[in-house]
Amino acid sequence: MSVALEMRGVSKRFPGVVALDRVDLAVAKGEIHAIVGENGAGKSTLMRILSGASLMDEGEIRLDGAPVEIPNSQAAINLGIGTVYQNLNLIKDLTVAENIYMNRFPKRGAFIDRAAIEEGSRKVLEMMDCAIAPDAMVDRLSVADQQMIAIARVLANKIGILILDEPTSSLSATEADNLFANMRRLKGLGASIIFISHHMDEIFAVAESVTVLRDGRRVGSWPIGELDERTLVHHMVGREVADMFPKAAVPIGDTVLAAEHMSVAGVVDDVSLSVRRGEILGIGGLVGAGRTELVKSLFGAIPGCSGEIYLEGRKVEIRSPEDAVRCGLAFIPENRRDEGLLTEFSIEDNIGLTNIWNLSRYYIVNAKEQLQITADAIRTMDIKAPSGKQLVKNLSGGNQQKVVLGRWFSRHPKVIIFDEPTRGIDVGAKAEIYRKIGELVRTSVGVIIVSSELPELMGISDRILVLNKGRMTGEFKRSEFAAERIMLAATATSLQ
Amino acid sequence: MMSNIGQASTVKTGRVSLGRLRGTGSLIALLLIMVVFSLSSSAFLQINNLMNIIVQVAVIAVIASGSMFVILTGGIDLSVGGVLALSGVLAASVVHGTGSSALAIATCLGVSLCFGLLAGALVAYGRIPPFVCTLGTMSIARGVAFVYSGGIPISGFPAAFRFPGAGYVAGVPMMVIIPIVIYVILYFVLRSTPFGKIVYAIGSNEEATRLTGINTRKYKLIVYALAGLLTGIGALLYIARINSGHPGSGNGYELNAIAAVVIGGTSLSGGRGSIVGTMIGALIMGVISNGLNLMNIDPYFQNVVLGAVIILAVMIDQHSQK
Repeated sequence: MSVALEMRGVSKRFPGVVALDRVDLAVAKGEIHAIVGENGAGKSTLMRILSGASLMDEGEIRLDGAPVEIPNSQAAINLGIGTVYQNLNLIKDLTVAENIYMNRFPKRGAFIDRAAIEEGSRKVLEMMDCAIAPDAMVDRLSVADQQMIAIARVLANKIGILILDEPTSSLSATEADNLFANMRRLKGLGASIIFISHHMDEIFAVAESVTVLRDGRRVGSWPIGELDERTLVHHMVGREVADMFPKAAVPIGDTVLAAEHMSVAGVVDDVSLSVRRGEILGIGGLVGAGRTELVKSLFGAIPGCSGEIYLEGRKVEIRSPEDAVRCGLAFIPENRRDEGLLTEFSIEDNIGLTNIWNLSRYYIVNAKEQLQITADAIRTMDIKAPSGKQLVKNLSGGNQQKVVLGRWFSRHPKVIIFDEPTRGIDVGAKAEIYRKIGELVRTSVGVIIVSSELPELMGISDRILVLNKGRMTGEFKRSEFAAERIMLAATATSLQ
Repeated sequence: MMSNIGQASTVKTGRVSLGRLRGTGSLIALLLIMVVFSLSSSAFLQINNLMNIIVQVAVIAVIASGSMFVILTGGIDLSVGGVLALSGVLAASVVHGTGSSALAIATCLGVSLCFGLLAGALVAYGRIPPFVCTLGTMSIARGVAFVYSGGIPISGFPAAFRFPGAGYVAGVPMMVIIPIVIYVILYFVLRSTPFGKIVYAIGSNEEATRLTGINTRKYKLIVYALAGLLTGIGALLYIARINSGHPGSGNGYELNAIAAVVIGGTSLSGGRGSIVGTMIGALIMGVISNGLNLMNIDPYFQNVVLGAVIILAVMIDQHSQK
């Protein structure tokens, strides 16, 4: 197989940190190549250099053997390098066809040639075996469909190399399989595909070779056949990550939270659940099943919900996050950048916010106590940062998540709700979060976890509740856990 | 040790010099401008003239402090001019009708506070965008002022009523004392109280703040009410200075207040800014106006200069964010 892309000795420095240190990469024509590594390993930086969004400080890039320069995104596209970022960058208020042809509308005189863009879009979507209509409005589409359009937009140009950054983070298993089928189809047409991923099953499902980066350096590249999950994780992390899910035996006490007939207009339909002290209740289901809405209704964070909530046996009114927090609930949202953190502020300010009134006497914030709480949180959560004054936007995903979790500790919550606790977090940090959750339940806290990663859910939960289309379709005790059963419940229409 | 909410980024980049510029930059700009004017006119640096500047700036400075709080939460208050006019007209009418200065002052503050509460309720609970909402309350206030007064100014007030604006304490004009006292209190509030930190947090990310269990709606209501009250104080200063309650007063003051806030380095998207900056912004505007006057430059040309200064200030702010 001939080499389509070669990157040699690529280095990139940011003030204070070396993001890439003489990294090499070789991708063959028609190959599906995975770039794997922990957060901060340099994967995104490397891809941004290839896509023209960033400039390398040293190094050489060759396409089909010839050296090339990629000074900006347009140059990358002209060279046949197409990139689909995690945040898609689609324009929600325009149609599918308009998005696909966004930067190069074919014209009839001074006007957009509508027939041409509809026809062109139809062709690309057909090639991807995608049934979306070219005149559909993008904001009406599901996240998975939007991703298809983002890929179609790239493919509408002549593409020799397609870069996908964490393509399946918002997709369900079936949608991911669909994506993989498309990737194989594209490979068949001669394009090379590079994708960045954290997910082992995905990498082993579709990649043909893997390059591992760690701390800005290339650890090595291997054909997929020479690797297994354990070895790959070992390369990524540099150490054995034994026992991903440290499930210790924890005494389970009485019911701390019980919710009856929880409904959220149109999304959640009459779900009842309970959590006991020391217990981890997992909530599984497909994307769109209503899991986030269910837990948000427990936290009072979503309008239009009904149902009864009992805390330690006593009925409580939870109409807002303020009520929920006062009752002893804590919530770690799905989207930490948008809902969990004040990204422009420091660790100290983020942690202090939850406790702002506790930290003050006579309406003045006690700076010393705030420092103390911050230091405690950093120590307990093992947050890696030079100081509490570090801005959270400069932390890795794993450390950011630790800040979100750490801020609740000094309130001694009775129930902690996690929505996708390890999304976008690398393997090493994931294990740490699981350990922290394990420590939490040992202090008789009740934990509810929503997760789309089945191994994670099965690894740490004591019980799993499955939702489909807003209804509860399955409940399993730990001794009954089986992947197929849970998946079956996730797609069933009635209680299994 | 203070936390760094609201201050420039501490990330070390090549452009950090510009980031720090935002904080101290407006002060440097003010000093530079003062140097330029003192060189071009010998009258500039005289005590009388400097006092003049502060007096002229006082009303805008007081109003701008309230606008700054609103802008910090990611909102905006366009109603201040109209509310100033209405509060002034009603207070003037009360003092003429009842002879009681105390009652009139209470009316002025009460009316402006009510408009603040109204705007705050609509924004926080009605979820109406602040721009639209305060545009509406501005028109309503201005309209009521004209209807009530029939378009005729009400002039001539007792000394007691004019004291907050025209009085002196130990030889220092109230027009100087009141803004300074207000700014000192607000500086303290923003720096060291939970309320202050919550205001910055709401502007930075309202949803994330809400999900930590803070009642963001309540605080937004309070912020608009506070802005209303400060506008009322500004109205008292204003009415004392011109000795007349005029329904057309304060025209365009909302834009001047916003200009002071922006020139002082507060971000219009919320979550960032310092109250000292707002004072400096108001002073810069006052100094430029005063200096150009002393140089006998066409007053209309002053607007051109002001516009340029606003654009420059925002450019520096944008650049220091990279």
